Amino acid sequence: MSHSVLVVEDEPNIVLSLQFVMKKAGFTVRIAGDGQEALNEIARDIPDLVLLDIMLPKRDGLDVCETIRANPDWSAIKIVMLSAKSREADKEKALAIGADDFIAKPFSTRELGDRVKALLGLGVSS
Amino acid sequence: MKRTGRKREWSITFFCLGLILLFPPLLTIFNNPGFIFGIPATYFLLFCLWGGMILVIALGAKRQRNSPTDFKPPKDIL
Amino acid sequence: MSGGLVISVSFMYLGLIFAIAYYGDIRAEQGRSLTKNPYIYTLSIAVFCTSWTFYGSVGRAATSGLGFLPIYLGPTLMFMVWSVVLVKIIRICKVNRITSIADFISSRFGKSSTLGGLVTIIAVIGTMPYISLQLKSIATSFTILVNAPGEPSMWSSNGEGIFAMDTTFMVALTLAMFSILFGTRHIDASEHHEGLVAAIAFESVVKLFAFLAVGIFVTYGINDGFVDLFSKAQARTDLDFVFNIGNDTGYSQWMTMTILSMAAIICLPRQFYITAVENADEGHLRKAVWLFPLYLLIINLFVLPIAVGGKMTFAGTSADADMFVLTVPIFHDQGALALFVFIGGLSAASSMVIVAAIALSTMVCNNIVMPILLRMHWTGGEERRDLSGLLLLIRRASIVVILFLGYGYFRIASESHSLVTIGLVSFSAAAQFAPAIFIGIFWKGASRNGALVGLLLGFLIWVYTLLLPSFAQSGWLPISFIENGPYGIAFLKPYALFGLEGLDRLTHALLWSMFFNIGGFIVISLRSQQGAMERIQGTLFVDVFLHTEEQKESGSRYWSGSATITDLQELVGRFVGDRRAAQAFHRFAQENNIQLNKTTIADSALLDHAETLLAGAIGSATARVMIGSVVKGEIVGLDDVYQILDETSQVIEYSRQLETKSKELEDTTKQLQTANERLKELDELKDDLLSTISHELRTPLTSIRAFSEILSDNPEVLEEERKRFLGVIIKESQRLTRLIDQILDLAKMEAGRMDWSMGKVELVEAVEQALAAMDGLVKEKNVELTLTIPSGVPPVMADRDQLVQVVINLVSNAIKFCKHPGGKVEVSAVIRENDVMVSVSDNGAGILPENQNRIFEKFHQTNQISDQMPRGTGLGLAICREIITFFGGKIWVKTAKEKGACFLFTVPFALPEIKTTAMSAE
Repeated sequence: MSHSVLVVEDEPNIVLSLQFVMKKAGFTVRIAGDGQEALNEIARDIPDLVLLDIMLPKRDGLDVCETIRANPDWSAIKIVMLSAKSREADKEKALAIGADDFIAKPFSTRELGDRVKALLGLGVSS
Repeated sequence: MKRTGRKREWSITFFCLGLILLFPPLLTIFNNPGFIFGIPATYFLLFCLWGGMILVIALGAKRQRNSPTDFKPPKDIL
Repeated sequence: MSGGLVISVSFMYLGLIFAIAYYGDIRAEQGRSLTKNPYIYTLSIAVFCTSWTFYGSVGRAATSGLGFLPIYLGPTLMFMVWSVVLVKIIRICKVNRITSIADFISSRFGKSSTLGGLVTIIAVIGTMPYISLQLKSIATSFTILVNAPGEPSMWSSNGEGIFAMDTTFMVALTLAMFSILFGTRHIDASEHHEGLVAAIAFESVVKLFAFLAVGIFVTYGINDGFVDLFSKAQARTDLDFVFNIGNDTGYSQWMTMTILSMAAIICLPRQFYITAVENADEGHLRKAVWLFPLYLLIINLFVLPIAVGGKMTFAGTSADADMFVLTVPIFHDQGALALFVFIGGLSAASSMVIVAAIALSTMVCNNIVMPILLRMHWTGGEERRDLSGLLLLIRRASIVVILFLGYGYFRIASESHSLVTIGLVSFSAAAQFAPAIFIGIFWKGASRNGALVGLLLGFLIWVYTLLLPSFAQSGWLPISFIENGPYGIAFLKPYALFGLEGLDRLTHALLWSMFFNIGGFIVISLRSQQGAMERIQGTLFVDVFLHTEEQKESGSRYWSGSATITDLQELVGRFVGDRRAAQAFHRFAQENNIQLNKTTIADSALLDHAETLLAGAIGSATARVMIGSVVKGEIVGLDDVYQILDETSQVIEYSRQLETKSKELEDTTKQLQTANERLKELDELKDDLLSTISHELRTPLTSIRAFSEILSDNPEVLEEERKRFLGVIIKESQRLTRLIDQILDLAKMEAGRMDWSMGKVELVEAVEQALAAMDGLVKEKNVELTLTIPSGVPPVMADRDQLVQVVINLVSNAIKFCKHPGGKVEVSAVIRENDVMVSVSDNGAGILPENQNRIFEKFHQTNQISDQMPRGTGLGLAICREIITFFGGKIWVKTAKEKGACFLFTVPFALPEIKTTAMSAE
């Protein structure tokens, strides 16, 4: 059974690209456009991994991340933060509140794919 | 007086040096029955050491040229 | 020599000394001080050299060789670290107005009166042998001088029966009288006794010259210089030991005496008094610290020659070596020299006795009698009695008591001992103060209880191992006390306490007393909790340089005595304004977490705080006197009153200006605070802006990069998808370009470097051009766009391209945010007096009132964008505002009739041509 990935991102074009890359890698992809929607999606069906943008309408990515980590049922979810804020402090903050990885925008789709696979314990294809 | 520079450290160093010289076992070096210039050696050496110590104090207490003014207590205390 | 002659010369000499003291005081009162120079200060410290030095050193040298020297090497060593120890003690004394060693120790440990009393008792008992030594030397020298010439055996006078006793008694009486005359003419103990210092300095000169005279007489008169003298002595086998350091216990005693004298030069009550309390200027130390050891060196130069000379002169007799200084000149028929020597000895003895008596009587009065009287409410009462008479009486009485204690000790214990032995007993007592002083000024943790226990233990050991045995040896206690211990308990033998044998008595006593003194002091200090006052005083003492060098004006003092808080607040209010005083007191209460009850007695910290408040307003001297006026129990010194006279004139002017000045200051402070906050805000804004720009640039870049990679990595994607992805890349690239252009435009506009081409612009044309550019979008979004512009709008003054840009921005925003489907956008214009007002309204969700101002800020984006719409840059409105503002118009937003947003802006009309030319024609 393929892994499921939840893409949380409000920029439609970026969603489009992420969707393509994840599908291509063989994951089931769901999409959420803001923080609240993301949490609703997770509650509906727990994904294996969340690609989470930080700057989101309604509830921002950090908030969503904290909420996920506060719920013991969701502890298995891997979280990869995406952000156009690339300062070291942002990265540290994201990792401190429980994100598994942090990827700065603009990102390389190849690297993103590799990192996601690594987190899900899948072999990295060349 | 402003306590800056190394004068305090020097003074403590010389104090320790003096203490060591004036206490046994180093004291026994001075304590010998001989005579120097016809004067008992112990007497002569001890007074020389003493004079040397006074010289060290005098040099240490010399006002540095750029030393800030000495502490003047508030007028009302005197 | 006739007794009458000696007595009259003695009294003439003492009279001269008194005259010098009197003259010194007069000069001081006239402000032409005799004593405020380092040389007089040095000579006054030389009060250290007493009969012990004058007579006793020779005796010591004659019996144990160079063993007399440590007493002078110790102070020299101590003075090597003057900048670490002496300066600190003197500074503390000045800042805290210390009057004695008892005052110093009690003050250090939280102004404990118990401790002050204990120190005083130790000092009085400890000084007793020392005074007896002086009395003995004067009496003995007097007896020898009067009876000479006679049998050499006579000169071994160890108290010649009833006559000697009487002499000693008379000497004690005389010195008591003189001490009273010298010391108790002033009442204020904290004042400098300049006359006394002058007299002591003079006596130091006399004793030095007298001693040198004998030395030169022995070395060059009887013999042919040092070499001759020493070679003669060398020829005799019985004098070898004189040239070396002691016998079996020589080294241990040498060390003990060195340590004792190091302590003594600070801790003897009279040395502390002269060196620290009477110090007029810290700067004098720079000379005194080496001149005083030099004085010691010079006065000791001839000790060995005189001892050797005496030994050779009185070979085979039992002559008292302590009196060689006197007996050698007498033996050689030098009457005048002998008399001079006697006067020198009298100088040495009397200076010690007088200074010690004054220092001790001050301590007895201030640290024992006064605390007791205060506790008995003697000084209270309704009417304020003049206490100065009582105080003088107490001091005089204590001088008499102290001298007769010394006489008593002489009678009981010191008749059979050499001068140095007696003196060392006193040194050991004084050394008990050393831990409390030296540890106390470097370690804040030293506590009152620690000091009490340490001092008490050290003192008791001293009494047990030195004082009581000396009584026993004189037969006042059974001698078995020494030999077998009390009740035959060998373990407690006073000279071999706890089985410690094989040491000389002095080393033994010092070892045990210091073991218990320092041990008790430190252990109890570590175990006890310090009170607030202890901590404050500890900090003041240990950090004295911090307190005095950083803020020169504040000699931090704590008040004794009492005043109610109301009294205090009223007083402060009188000078700094009632409101401010109330505020300050309130803040003080909050900071210290205390309740300020109107009728309670102000504690010392509050008094000090009040003093500081006042000092800021009216100068420190006046402040102290003013506080003193409400605090009962603090004596206002004469100096303070003089100080007030100087300051009063300034005070009146100053306190008047104070209120206005403080108001100005408050305003300035407020302005500064506002400016500061604004700066901080701007700084944060700048940071935010950079971060936002970065974010805005990265977002389109992300899409571009992602799709470029996707296309490059996946050649197999469908044609349809490929087109879609390429479309995204193109769109995002355009967005990026637009963003960069706008950022640059905005930056140029803000920096004032935009190239504007201003001119007359027909509004209608500009608006129509803009709408034409939007045509595609309008059709795509299916929006109903209406345009209502009245005819005959005069031309406006603007940059045509920029004006078109404004309209495009506003209309595209309106299209973006209007209702979908069924969107309506309305553009209209109204002619006003000087300008035209254009409005662009939509039927969208509108803008919340709280956002209506912020919407024009850079990168402000509402979160209400629908998914289908392309993202804006967040810069459009900011640019519009810049442009319109440059045109001289205004732009704002309001809520439209149908709940949508309505953006409005004005553009001024171009000025008529005629007017311009008319103006330029003039």
